[in-house]
Amino acid sequence: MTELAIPTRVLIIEDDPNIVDLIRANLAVRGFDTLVSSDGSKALALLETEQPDMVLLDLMLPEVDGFELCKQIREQSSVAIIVVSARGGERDKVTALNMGADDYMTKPFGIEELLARILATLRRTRPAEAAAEAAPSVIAIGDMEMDLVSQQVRLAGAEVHLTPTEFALLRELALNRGKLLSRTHLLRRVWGRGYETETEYVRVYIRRLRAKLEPPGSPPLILTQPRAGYRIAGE
Amino acid sequence: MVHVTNGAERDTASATPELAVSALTVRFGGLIALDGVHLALRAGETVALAGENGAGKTTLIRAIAGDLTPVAGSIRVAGQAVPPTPSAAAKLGVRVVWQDLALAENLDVAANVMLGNERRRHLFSDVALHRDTSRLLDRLGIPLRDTTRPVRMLSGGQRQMVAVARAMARNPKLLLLDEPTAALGVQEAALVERLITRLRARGTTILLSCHDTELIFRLADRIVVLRHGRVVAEVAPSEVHPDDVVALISGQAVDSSARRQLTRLHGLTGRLVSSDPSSSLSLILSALGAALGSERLAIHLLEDGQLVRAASLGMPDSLLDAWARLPVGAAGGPAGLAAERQVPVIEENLRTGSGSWQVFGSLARPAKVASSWSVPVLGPGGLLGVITVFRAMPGKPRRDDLDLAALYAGYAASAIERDRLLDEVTARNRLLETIREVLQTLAGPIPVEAGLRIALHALREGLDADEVALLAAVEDVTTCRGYSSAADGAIAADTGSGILRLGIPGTVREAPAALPAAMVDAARAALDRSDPDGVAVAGVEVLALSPGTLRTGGGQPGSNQPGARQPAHGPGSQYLSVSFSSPDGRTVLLAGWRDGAIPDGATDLLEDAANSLRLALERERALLAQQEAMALRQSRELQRTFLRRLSHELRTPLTAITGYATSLLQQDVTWDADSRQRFLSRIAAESARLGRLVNDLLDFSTIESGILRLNSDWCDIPLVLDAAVAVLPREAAEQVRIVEAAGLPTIWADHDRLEQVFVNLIGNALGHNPPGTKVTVTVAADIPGTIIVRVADDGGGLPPELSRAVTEAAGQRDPRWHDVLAAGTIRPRRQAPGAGLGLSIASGIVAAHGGRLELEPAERGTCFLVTLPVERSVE
Repeated sequence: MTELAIPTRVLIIEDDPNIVDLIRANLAVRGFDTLVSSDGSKALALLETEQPDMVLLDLMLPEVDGFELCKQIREQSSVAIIVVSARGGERDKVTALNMGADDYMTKPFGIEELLARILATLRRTRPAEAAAEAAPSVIAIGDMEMDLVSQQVRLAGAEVHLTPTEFALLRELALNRGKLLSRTHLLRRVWGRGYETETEYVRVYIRRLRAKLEPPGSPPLILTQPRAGYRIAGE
Repeated sequence: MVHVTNGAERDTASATPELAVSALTVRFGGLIALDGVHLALRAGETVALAGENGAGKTTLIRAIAGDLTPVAGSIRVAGQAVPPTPSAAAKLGVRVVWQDLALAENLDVAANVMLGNERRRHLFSDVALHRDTSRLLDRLGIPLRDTTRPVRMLSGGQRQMVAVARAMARNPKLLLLDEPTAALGVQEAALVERLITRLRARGTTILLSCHDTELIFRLADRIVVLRHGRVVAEVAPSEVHPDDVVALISGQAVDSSARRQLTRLHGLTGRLVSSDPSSSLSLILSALGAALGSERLAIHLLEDGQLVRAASLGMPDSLLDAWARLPVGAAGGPAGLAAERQVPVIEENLRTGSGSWQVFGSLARPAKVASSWSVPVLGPGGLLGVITVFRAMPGKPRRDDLDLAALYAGYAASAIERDRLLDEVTARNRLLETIREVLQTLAGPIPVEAGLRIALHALREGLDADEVALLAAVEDVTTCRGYSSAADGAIAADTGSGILRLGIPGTVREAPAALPAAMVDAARAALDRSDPDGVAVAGVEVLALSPGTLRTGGGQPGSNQPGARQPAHGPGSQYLSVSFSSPDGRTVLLAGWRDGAIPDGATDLLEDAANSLRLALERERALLAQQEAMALRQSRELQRTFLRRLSHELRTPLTAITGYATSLLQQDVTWDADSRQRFLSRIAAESARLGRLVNDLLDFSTIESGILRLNSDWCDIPLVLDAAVAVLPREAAEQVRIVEAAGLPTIWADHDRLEQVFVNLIGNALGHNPPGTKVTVTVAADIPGTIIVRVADDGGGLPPELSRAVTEAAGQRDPRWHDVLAAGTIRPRRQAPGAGLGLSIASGIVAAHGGRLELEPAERGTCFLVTLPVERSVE
């Protein structure tokens, strides 16, 4: 898995020395750069100075609320965030996704699972890959305009800031305009293989897209087909 | 509570206060209205006086305004003593806006504002008068445009503002406001509040008497709370909650909504009393007695040209009979004379025997009466009666005592007048109406314990019944929820007497002894006849009682079993009963009349009462259920916290183990020898940690399910402690000191389990505190048969709120106090892993030994106290 040309930089926010050692050893041996922080403010500073590609965030830190930290990271950057938590409840997962996490992993985990999730998330959030498979470079739907190369989205001319996962989901819907896409399809295409059952991911992210792209009073951009999936209205 | 230091001491430290009241005492006769009050106002400060009616707020304002003469103390305005006359106080710059405003109704706004402040030009020019008034009103921001309107045409709020403007016309040093918003509606009060806010912003020094706590909080820089003529507290609104001030005002800390309802009930009880003339007279009499410091008083009312004693206080029976009826005139003694002449008649010395009491002199002596004064009670239509005050000392009454007696004679007159104005039917209707209100209040949202008592008492009064009882039966067990009887209470007006609260269940056959036998019989009959499944209130039934037998209205034979109690009442007793189902079970409300004379309307009233009581009982139950649900929720919350922590504690080592193991299994990577070694050793360490956790969990569940088995033998506590310390890492063991008393007995216990207790306690003490914390373990055998071990640390101690929660739980003998502690402790530091079970396990083991684990209050750090019996008593 060392085929990634640019070394990927991962920020590990975790206070358990064993887990830090474990993740660091596994990532380092596969050519990743790793940074470690066990407290919130230092993590935010590292995010600023080191510009990591990905954050692995433990929710149970001694001094800070993990959800709050997740929200702060998301406000500061569009970096990929994988939450690693000992709390396995659905509610915690949805909360973390709502706070802007791209993926959620429950402790204990095997190292293959960790690596698979890291790679899937990176694939989704890497702009280089996106450009390669995109046929048109700009898609316009009503007031909304998305540039697949620069990864920019405009609504009535004003730029709308999307996280990489949000962008990837919107791209999948926009490229298949008019077509009904099932949740499973979206999960496989946007999040990657192995994510097909994580239906809350789609639900949370569709909600996030709607909040950003459907101003109150305007016709809906994304249509829900109950129990089937989602689509963007055809021309 | 902060008392203001007195003015003299303060002067040296700071500028002279604008107002300095020092040790001020004011008396009205025997009544101490103000008792050593200290108060200081700095220039520009707004201070509010808070207190109940009669707490001394208005008296203090009157004293500062020079309106009354204090007994002791001083009042200074800007350093100058205020003489006790209103004009002198005014000269020093004290202005008062009284509650009744004292405006000239027929004059216009301008004339009222400038009254007494007129300048020379005003006397010659109306234009100047109105112009100057408008300017003043503008300056004060008072929204009154037309200064020519007569004051009588203004609203309450506008009048208040005119009065304030008048007080402000002379730029007072000190503005006294007596209840400025008491008589106003919400909007008008807001106008006045804005005006006071503006005055305050202009730097006016304001002393405000007010009983609207919320208003006080918005307006005042400081709040001075008066109670019974004393300053009980001085607080800043920013530092306290309004409820605290309400509690200070009333002198009791109670839930404010419950308090409001209680106040309402008291008010209604007051109305009940006042609808009964004899009891309201005795009330007035006892108030007068208290005010005068006299214990012997009598009031005679004029009836058919004779003075008939209506109420008396502290008089021996022998005198009462002699004074039951007195003729008007000299033959009636001083009372007769006072009635005839309609002026107070004072008998300075009865013992010299020359006075008009001669007739009764022999009777007066044994009652230790030396002097008397009789004050006529005069109503609008002439003489109503005479109040006579008896004193043990010869001599004249003081002027203010006589004034006080005259004042109370006035109250008595209005009470008598009021009563005479109402014909009997109206009075009765009012009584019934009030009782309904009492019952409705009782059924209101906040049940009040005292409410049931008051309700039953009120109901008995309203029904004119001899006794009223509320009983509830679940199967054979009948509980008396309340009982009110006229016979037991010598004075019917005393709501406290004749009422039993019997919480103890008993069958009707073995009813609580204090319940009269006849009532028990009636209750049994009523319960026998009530429909066990009935939900709503059933109709009222009549039960007639004859000696030994109870016959119900329907003619069915009552239960007449051998050994049934002999009813206390003669034939002709009648009972009315209503049954209904309440959360307490089948419930009956019973009222009994000994002479069998059930008044008209009793049936309706009893049914109304039953409906209200049913609601009240349901609400009471709902409240209990709510409290239980809350406790359950708390306990569930505790459990959830516990499980969350436990899950975290189990997942942490498991994550490391899984992670390292799967890393070693990866095909794409070849780990170097160092990494492999590290991974394996960490897997081993984390597995051991997991093993300890699982053991703890097993111990915990063994203890929780009560199947902990002890392998007891005679053991030596010092040896147990040594073993416990030996388990600790070396650097931790060095922090522990063991202090043993000499001659400790060996105890019958499980050595290993006790070791576990002390490992947990010492481990917690070291693990939850900063490094370097010392732990002292003290063993003593002060009490024969027990050994006491204290495990104390000098660390940071528990956070205060946690300590409070734990103490609370422990105080309520809640066995879960250590769970509260475990749940509240923040995530344990790395050096003290564990699911927070250590304390629970320690407590369980100690309990299995017949001992106790407690948290002992400590000045610093935390101290656990383990008490163990030397030998467990045989179960």
